[in-house]
Amino acid sequence: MNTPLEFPWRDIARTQDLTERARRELAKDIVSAAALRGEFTLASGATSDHFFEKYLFQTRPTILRRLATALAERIPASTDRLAGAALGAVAITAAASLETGLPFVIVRNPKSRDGQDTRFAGEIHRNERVLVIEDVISSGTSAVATAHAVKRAGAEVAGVLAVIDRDEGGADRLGEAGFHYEFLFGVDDL
Amino acid sequence: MSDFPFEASGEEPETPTVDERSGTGLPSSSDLAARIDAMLRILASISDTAPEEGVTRLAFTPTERAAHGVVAGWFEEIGLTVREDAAGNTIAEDPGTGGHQAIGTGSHLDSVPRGGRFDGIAGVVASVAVAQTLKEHDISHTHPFRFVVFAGEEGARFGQPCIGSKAAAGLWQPEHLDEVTDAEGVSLAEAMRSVGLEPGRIGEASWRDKDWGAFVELHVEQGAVLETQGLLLGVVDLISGSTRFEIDIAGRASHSGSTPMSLRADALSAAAEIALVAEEVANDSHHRGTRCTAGKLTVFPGSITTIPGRAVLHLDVRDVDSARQRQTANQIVRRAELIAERRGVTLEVRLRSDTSPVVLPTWIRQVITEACQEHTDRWRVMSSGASHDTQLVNTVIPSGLLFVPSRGGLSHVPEEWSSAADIARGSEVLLNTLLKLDAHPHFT
Repeated sequence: MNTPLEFPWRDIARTQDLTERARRELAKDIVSAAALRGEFTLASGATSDHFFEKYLFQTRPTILRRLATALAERIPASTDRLAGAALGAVAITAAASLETGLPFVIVRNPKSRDGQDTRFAGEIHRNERVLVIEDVISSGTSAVATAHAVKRAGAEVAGVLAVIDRDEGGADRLGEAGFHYEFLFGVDDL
Repeated sequence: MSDFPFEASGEEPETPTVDERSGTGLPSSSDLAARIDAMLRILASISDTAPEEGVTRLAFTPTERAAHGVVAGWFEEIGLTVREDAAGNTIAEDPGTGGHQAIGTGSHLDSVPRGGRFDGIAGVVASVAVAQTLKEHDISHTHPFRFVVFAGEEGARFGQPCIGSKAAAGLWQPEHLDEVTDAEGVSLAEAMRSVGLEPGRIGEASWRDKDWGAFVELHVEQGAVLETQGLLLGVVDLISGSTRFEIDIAGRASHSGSTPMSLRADALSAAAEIALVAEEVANDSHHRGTRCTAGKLTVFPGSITTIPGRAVLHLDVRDVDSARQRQTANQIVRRAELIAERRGVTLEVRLRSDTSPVVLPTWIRQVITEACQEHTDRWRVMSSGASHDTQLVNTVIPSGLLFVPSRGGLSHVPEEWSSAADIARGSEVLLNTLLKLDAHPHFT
């Protein structure tokens, strides 16, 4: 083929590269979708004029598609399976599964006492290398519980990978529990 | 006032009264739809083409400025202070009782050549109606309300859409104004100067987020979703982006009679196949929300007895999904390469523009849907396939976009039509939205 093709746009079109502009646009779209303003009563009873409704960013393909690509880049090639805790991480884990071709498992009720009521929807097998996907990490207790559930099933936790870290102690908690942790967006990015 | 070919929709609105001193005074009438209808008629008559040919009011022409002048006059009659900014945007202000960040609304007055009477105009007229209602009923509000008429929203003249709102977003480098030209070679900078604007000062038109709190635009849908579903209002959640490119196909021109079919490299046939591929891709199950259009095809030498040696196909890929938009463009190009190889032609691909789709802030949209619900159940959330000033404003200020139905989904043609009653309803919802934003916890 002797086609003289000019593709200056290939750099823009390559979604594998989260260039600065692409990252900024994705962050802005996440905030536009999920950062609500109004009068909110939090679980603690305190009121706030803003609330981050995470399902609003996870249910939009324009955001989910780009997140899946960004997550996929950080998933080690040696990973056998992804794991995501219900309900918050299910959509993003499924998206990452489609993007990478890796199977996934849904972890239900990860924080149940001693894991008595923790269930897996899908399969997980001993000695698999499983990466835990999280949507938003605050204190980290949920992520740690999910990772422990994976361990109790006899699998190896390859790490924890989150979309958003709120800088509320999650990194410390995961570090203390001995799990490798990465995230796409921190508080300064959003 | 020119005799206007409005089609009767059943009930005739009561005849509006207009200022006797000039035919373009602010219409007064107790019926909001009648006032809106009168304003639409006045603005439709400010055109470089006759009514039956459609409205022609191109960016930065004296005709566009004349329309801005009429609307500025209306805002002044209402009692607002009006100014023109460095980009030619007209901004009218109704001061509030104490807030700092203004809440804005508005649209544009320029048109495509031989276009409709409603695209942009509906939003401007709705904002005038809102300003009138606020004054007539002495409605108090904390924040300043600003009514904006953006200059040069249509890309028709300079190939650059949203010129005025791009200035509000602070995205113009003054040097670029010399580089952007129209089909006659007139630069945007020259055009601006010809209507009394100083392009070097365009930076002064930037909006600062401490001066503005939110912006909501009313616009005609320019599609048929609302009409098809029998709905009255659309609240936009996503605005499409677009990737536009040309595929320049080089074949081999030759005699149409003597050249055997098997020995041809027909550039037009290749272009036709590529155009159909673009359509097929947009129609498949992976592409809900993608729109591909081959809008222009230039064929050389353009003779009935010569096999086309060259064809340039212009493609517009629009999407609400940012990554998919670029993947789709690439997909079309890859398939074009395969077509080219099979047909023995060569391709050159040139990117003309590439803008990302935008998610509009949910919280603003929620205020608009709440306002809609107070008027009617017949509304829905939907995406916008067309770009709007809102898209640019949203880069600096949280913004929203409200649609009213378009008959037959037609736009950019003289047959474009929306009812004054629908626009009136839209303006009521718009007023309600602005007042809710004025009282919103985010601003207190």
